[in-house]
Amino acid sequence: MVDTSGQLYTIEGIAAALIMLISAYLVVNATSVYTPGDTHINDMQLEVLGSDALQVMNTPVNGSSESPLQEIVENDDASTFNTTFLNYVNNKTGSEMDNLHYTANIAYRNITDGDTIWSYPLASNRNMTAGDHPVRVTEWVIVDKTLPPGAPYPPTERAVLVEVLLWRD
Amino acid sequence: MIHNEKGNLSVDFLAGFTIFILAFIWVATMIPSLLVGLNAHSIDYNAVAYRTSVILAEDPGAAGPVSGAPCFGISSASGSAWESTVTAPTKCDIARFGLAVSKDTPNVLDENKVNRFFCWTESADPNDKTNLSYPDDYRKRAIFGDYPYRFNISLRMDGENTTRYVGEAIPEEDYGYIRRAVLVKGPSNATIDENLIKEKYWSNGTVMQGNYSEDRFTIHFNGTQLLKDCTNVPHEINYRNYQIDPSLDTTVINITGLDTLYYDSPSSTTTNLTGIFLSTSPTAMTGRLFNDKNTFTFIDGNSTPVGTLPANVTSNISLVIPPGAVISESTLRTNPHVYLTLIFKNTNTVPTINSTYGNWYINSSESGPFEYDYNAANVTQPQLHSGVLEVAVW
Repeated sequence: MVDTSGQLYTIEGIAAALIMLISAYLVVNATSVYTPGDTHINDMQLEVLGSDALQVMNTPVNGSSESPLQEIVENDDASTFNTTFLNYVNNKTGSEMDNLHYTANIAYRNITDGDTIWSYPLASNRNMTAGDHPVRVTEWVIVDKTLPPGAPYPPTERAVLVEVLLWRD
Repeated sequence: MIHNEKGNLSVDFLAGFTIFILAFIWVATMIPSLLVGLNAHSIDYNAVAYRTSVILAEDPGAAGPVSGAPCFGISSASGSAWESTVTAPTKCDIARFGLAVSKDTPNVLDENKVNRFFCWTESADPNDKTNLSYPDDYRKRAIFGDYPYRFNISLRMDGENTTRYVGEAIPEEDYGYIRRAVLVKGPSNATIDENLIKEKYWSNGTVMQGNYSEDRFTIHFNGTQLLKDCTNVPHEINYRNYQIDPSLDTTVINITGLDTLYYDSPSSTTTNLTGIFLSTSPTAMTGRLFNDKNTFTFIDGNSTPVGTLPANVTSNISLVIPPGAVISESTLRTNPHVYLTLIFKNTNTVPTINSTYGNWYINSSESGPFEYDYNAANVTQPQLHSGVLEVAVW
């Protein structure tokens, strides 16, 4: 009598082996493998650089002046912000420049409108698209300014939050 | 005969199981190569680069014994002024690098720490106690870790064409990297030109002082105000960014236009700088003398210091006083008032004197000392200059 029950074992073994081999082949030949730590490295580098740039912009260059960022916010000087911020984030120690893009907003507490948070754009050097992967960096700045802009109040000293979305092509 | 096959192992099962086990073992041996694909090295390199950048940009460093490095005895140095040759005479007195002005002022670097850090040699002389060598002296004080990392640390200031660096060329790939935006605190300086001398710090040999042949010009450092009373510094929270501290920062005093002070014969008239001394009283006639081995006085634009006094001066004098060398921290903290006096002796003959004209001589006897303080009208205050710091590790 021919017993064919053993052939099933062989097919199972071959099938299991093939599955493992194909899986291993696919994994090894994947273009790149990201661990959670890996994916955050580029973001971390951008966050550190962006935070540094805002922090040094919010430091007066001498003991008797306002910080550049204070003056920019008080005067809504988008051009100076654009030049200074890009200078800080794109400069490298070598001869080549980096190519980072940003969009910056100012958020503040509007006490004339039910104590709500309002914001308005400060500057940007490119519109963000769906494919961009930005990081968010912020800096609190003490300014002497009328907020909301154009409100019928004299300028008062208050804190505003400069928010910057920063990304690389 | 009873035919019972229940205890037998099927050959087919054996074949299938063997194929499965062989494939399993093969896949298991591939696991290490799978981990290589996870870029574990670059993750570590990036972490070390970030850690190093934090140490350099946000920490002032420390003087003291260094662990694990070959050294010459145990250091007793302490504090954060590791760059000072007074606090840390040899590199064995440097426990940890850190370029920040203070721990409260991240990303604001001290120019003296920067200069010391980027002064290095590639050849490691085991008997050299002064010059830093790559990579050993830096690994133990900035990079840390058991793995012998190689690295490149560079700093470029805005407006400068050259990049300061320590380390070797960065490889094409597989290295960790971080970039930091920084500010560097520059030195304060004061210029006493002919206009200021004629306005305030002068004598003409008859009116202000009986003895026209010798003039004294004194510069006053008020230790109480400079070190402790920072109410004149508007940004009190970060006052270290703008503090004038002759014991830790370079102090520059330029005296210019001396050749324009003489009315009668400017081309043939020179002044003789006969001595410089440090005292704790404005009226003291003696103190610590700097007439020999004077390394901070430059005369008439000469790039080498004068060395020995007296010396002839035609036009200008620059005092580039390195931190702690002339006015130490202990001097400034112990004595609230420190006076640096320059003694001039004129080599010309008795000046032509009438009621209107006479020779002018630099002299502070009548006006009182020149105040080196937080008054921007007298002293150009310390400025922060922007730059970028990069760390690459592999």
